[in-house]
Amino acid sequence: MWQYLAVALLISVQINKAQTCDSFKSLTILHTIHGTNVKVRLLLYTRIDGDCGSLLSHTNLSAHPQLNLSRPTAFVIHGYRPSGSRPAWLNQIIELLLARSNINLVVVDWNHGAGTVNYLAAVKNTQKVAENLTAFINVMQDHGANLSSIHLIGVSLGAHISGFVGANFHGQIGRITGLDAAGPTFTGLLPEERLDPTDAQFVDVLHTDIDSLGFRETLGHIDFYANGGADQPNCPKTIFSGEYYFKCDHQRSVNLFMDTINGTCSSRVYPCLSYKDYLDGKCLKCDGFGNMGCPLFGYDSIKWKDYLPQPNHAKYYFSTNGGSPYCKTNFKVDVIVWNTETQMGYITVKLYGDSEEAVAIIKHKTLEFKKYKETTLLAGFDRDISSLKKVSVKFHTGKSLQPKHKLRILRLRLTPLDRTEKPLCRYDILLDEDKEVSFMPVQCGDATF
Amino acid sequence: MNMEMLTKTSDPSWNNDVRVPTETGGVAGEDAELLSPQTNGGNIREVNSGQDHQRNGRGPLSTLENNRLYKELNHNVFWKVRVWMIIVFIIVLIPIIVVISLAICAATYVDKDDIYDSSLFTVPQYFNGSFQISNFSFKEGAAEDLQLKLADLYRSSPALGRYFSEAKIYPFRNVSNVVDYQLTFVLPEDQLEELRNFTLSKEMVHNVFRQFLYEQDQDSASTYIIPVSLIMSSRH
Repeated sequence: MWQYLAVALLISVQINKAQTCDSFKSLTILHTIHGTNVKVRLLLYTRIDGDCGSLLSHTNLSAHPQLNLSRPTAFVIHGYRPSGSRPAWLNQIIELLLARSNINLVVVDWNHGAGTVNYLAAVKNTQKVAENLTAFINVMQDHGANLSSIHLIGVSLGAHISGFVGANFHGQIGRITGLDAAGPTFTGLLPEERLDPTDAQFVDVLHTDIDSLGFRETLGHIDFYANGGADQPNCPKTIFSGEYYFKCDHQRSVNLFMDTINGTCSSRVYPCLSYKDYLDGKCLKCDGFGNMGCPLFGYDSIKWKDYLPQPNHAKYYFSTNGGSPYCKTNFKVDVIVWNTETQMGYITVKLYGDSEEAVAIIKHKTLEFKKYKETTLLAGFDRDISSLKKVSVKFHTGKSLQPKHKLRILRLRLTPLDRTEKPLCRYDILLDEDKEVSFMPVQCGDATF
Repeated sequence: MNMEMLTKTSDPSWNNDVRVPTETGGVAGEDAELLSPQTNGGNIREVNSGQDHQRNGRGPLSTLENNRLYKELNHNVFWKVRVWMIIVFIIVLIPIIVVISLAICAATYVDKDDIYDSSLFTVPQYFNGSFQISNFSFKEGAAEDLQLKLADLYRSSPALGRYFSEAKIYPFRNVSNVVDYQLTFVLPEDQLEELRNFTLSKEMVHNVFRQFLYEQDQDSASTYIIPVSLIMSSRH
């Protein structure tokens, strides 16, 4: 008799244990067609329980001993979910954020509210979610939490929710990170009706889909435009790729941000008038940021908080690879030629390490090489080469029916932009069209031209 | 077939029917000529039925035109060469001419920078300096070797080669591994300033030498020049 009871007790304990692990609730397509009312579930993740979330009470925080309000708290707020599915990136961002710092991580599951085929209904629900979160943060404050140590990470509509919450606390919240803040219905609204720089002490916003689901203009203290903010590399160009065509650019924002959390890579960003100017190498000066240099995109951008000119009208540009690691290794390339005839074309530069190779193809526009005039280019290499052994250059015109031209280079200078290393040079190169010339660069001598 | 029928017609109504389009159609002259020898008996009743009036007006004519075209295309121009052959030949010829002319253009293209008249290079420019050599020995012919090495380097330079005149190694200083040298270039009078500031600037002449030194095979038995020891100054 007692034996049976003991077994039953053990089983019930196990069941209870299993039940305490909560996670994001997916919805079915029927739910989303029918529409859902707002229901905010707050899932707490800490280093203690790792991948096991616990559903937070909105009022009774003492029921959660693992919630340590002396530590910083980060909220991850997802966006519109027309299919009601669980965000693909959720597990990864939880893992990365907890690995980076010992924080209370709260995943805001408002799938009931965001999971609807009617986008406008989801937009309407953002205010309700913001009120709910505001009430919760008030309770946190009552329990001793400091607003400065709160970081809201909002994706798409979640970015604007973060903005509303921040506005409710009059901008005292420490940081809001907006990942491709939603554009549709928010574009053209007043600052108080969307995310804006007054919503937190530091508002950093990434733009990856300004021509469709994202927001075109600046929203924060610093606004990053990855690859110009519109089309992301390796994202489908046509509708034949299915739903991925619609969400790839938009979702890339989360992937880019995640890459910076654990330092997989970090991209330096450059304030510039346009992406074209950035690619032309016209915006590579970083004097305005003191010793810090130009800001780094992502998790660590907050280090530049006190160095950013405000109000922010600048767009900060960078370019990425099509997959992780997304960051490129950038070099400024200066070429000066002695051809009598001006040559037009583009250039491929390769860097060789011990057993690795990095490529940069500079062909966003036809480059002009004029006698004794320096041409500056930005070369984004797909990877970093730790010990540079050799460099190769190739000149193309792309015109197969024309006579082969030659580019007669006096000096080619490679200046690393991500490191403080000295520029490397090669003098006196004759580039036959479409023929790769490789050489070992030397440290540049004093430049007189 | 229709052609035959048409030429053989003698029915006056047929004749009229055909004339209708000829008056409006603008091919009157040709029709009149074709229709004139209508003398023989009418075996064309079926063609001449009332419902076909309209078609009769055009149909035979267009086939007639086709036929005429066929004839003209098959017309012998000379020997066995017919008109259509000439047309096909011309169509094939045009792209061939385009490709050939492009190829000729490409083959005869001369890069302006490949041509120069060295007799115009008269203004001398000197670069003097020194460098140190490791595993130095006063071997016979060491100075000549170095001189040759330098001359080869500058003569093979795409930018500087044409202006290079000579490299001179001064007699070795005693008990020292320092070697003094002089490089002589000759420049044309026009664009003298530009050349001095860019192509034949000290920066270029010095760094062409310097990058060559970093590529030396350090382990080889030949004289090794210590790259950082290179000093150069220019004089004209």
